[in-house]
Amino acid sequence: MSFVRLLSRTGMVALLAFAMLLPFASVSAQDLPVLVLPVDQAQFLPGAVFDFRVEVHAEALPEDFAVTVGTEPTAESWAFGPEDAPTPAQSWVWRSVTAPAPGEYVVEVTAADATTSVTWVVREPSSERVARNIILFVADGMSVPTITAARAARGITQGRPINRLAMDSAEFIGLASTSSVDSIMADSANTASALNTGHIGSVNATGSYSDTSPDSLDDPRVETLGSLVSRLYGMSVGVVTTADFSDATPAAVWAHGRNRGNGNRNAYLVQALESGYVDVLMGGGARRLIPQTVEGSRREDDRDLYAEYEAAGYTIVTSATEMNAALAAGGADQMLGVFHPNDMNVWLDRNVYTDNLGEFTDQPGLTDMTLAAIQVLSQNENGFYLQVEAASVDKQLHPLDQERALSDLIEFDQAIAAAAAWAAENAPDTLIIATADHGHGYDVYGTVNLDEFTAATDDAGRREAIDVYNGARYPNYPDVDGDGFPEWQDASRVFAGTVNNGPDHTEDFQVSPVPRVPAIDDGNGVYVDNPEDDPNGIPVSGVLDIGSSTGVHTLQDVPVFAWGPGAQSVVGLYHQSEIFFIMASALGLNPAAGS
Amino acid sequence: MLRRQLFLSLIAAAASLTLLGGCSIPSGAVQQVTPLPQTAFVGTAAATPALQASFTAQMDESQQGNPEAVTPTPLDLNLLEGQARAIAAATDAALQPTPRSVITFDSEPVRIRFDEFYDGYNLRTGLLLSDKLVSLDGRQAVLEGYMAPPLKPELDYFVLTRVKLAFCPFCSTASDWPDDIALIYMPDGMSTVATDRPVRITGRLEIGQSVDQETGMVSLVRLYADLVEALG
Repeated sequence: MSFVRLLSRTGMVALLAFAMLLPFASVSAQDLPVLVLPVDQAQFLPGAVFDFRVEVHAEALPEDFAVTVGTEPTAESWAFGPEDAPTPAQSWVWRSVTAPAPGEYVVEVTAADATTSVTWVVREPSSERVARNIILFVADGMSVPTITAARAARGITQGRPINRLAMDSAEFIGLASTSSVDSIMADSANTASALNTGHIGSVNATGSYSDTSPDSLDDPRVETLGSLVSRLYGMSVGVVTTADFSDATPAAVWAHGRNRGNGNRNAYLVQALESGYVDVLMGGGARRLIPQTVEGSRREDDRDLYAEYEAAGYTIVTSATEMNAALAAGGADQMLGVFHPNDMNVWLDRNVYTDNLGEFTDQPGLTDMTLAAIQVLSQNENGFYLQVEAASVDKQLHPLDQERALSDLIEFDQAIAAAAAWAAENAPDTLIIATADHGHGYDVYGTVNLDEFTAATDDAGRREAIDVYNGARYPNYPDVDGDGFPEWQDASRVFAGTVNNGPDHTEDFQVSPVPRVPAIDDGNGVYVDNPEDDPNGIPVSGVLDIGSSTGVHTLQDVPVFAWGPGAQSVVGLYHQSEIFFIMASALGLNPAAGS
Repeated sequence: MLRRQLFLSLIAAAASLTLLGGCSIPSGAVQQVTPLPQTAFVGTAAATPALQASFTAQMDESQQGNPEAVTPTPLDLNLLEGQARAIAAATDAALQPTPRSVITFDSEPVRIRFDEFYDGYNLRTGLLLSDKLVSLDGRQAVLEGYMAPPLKPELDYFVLTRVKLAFCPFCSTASDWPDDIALIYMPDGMSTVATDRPVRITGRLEIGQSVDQETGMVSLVRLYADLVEALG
């Protein structure tokens, strides 16, 4: 961070040297589209590092073009230069700047007799560190109804839950909205990025504001919590996920890029290494660590990331057995756990339908990975920041698979319980926050009598088997082995649970022995009911465009649960980007003051 | 061009007939199947042309034509007809697999199934290719499967999959490609249209990871088809 340039609050920047960089051209007085990044009302910690980019969408730069921050231009020298962008766009970027003092910064861009004004808000930092460690649990796609359903599936008597969830015991609960800077809807990239940076970005973007240049890795960056805690406090940083760890949610801890697609995902794993602050990385994604010349690689370059991680000092493990052996041996302060070529398998397949695992029968569970990460990270006296993701609540709600989604939600809940137990015993100064990045439109509206449903010979008969209100009574999911996970397959009265959007499909409300594929391409890009999925189910009409194969995220606010020092701050309703500031506040982070 | 249009119409008609008929398509590897003589004949050609020396020059052109593709996927491609085949052939010459234990075959072509491709996946070293697959490198082979939804009309290659794919593996960069696929290059001058019936490919099999840095086109197993048959 030696190249951090301090931005004087009262003044900065008159751009005088453009003639040397671009030919001036005469542009008629008209309103030219101007893009200022970070956007209006962006919020910062004082001293947090970010890139500043201004774009004028014109064939050439207007003669009167000028940028000021504050009122008095200064003669400070800035590293700036034009960047390529699709015509007609002229842009300038200042890399790694900071706004050092709390208050409002007004950015004014003059172009063709018009002024665009943007205000950045630099917040008052907290002066007291109350938490040494932070564990952020993110259940991708979790919503209040999924939590309610998971709790209800574990049993209800006289209207009261029998086997409550760990999340039910939260000391403080809040609600977070999830919309994006460019859409009311959100995806896992910009939502996880909001949690990790405090900035509300565009759909698909991570750790950056989306610009218009073709390069999706040069977009103006904002600093992550991981970077801040590492450089200010020397804390360790860890990432645990059941997805490929280049996926949007885990990558948001360290990554910067506009597009979460394949090329950027490969780049993100290089960024993790180069960031220097990701000490533990656990999940799937082996394909992105081996060079493209090796069979089964998904890289688009010749880098052997296994070798690079190993050279950087990481202990590499590829099974639960290896992970446990490495922990028992001790000595590892950086660990790379790679347990699947792609996304890891879901709890239901790891524990019940094990035929779906193929050869990957030795994958650790989310709780195992969480405790392993804690064991490695907690060796650091300076504390740690760990993000734990249950990725497949979302990945199974997309294909409308309620039992796989709810099982992974319960596994998520058990990982929270394990972390809370560890904190209670070893580090009470640990703030634990559990939330979702966005929701899915899943809910339960009654129960289904499966004997009746299965015996029915037509659609009307099957619908007759759906019971609502008092007719619904209680589902009878057993939990004979007492592991907290219902034996979905042994119930005769099950949830009438559906997702409120999807493609044309059929629904039989029962656990599927194989992960669901509700709709298939008919060969012309039209997704139609998959005849092999729930073949005796009730037909459900698609409410998405005909090219959609699965359901999509929904708008709802998501719950925020918290335990430990600083937890009280989660109370209220706010945009999820506030969770970054809640975590920063608990840590007493003030980047402007240094460490 | 007229000839191709004719083929397209024929196959399109066949495909829609199949859909109208509501035939259920069996999943899993195709076993005993009978070609349908009227419409099954998609195209034949002489042997695969030799390696093209102009590979580099062709790539430069494609870059110029597509300057904004930063991390291209096959969907972004604007390859000229036959170009994909030439690129793949060039890579085949450069990257030949090393067999661990060579299997000899009595006669050609040799029938191989998708489930005979690999011995597994090692998380540290990637896919483990079977001896049979590696031994067939450069030999005549027969493979059956399903055509993945086409990337775009009139391609000179398509993706053959073990099971009918629910999605186009190339349509979303977030989707991972399954391992049990093969790229099928159509005989020279022939392009292809989608059919949801199983197809049988006869041609020269080429093995080895082929990733072109400029186009992002990835394949591990390729068949340079002499014969493409739609199966009933």
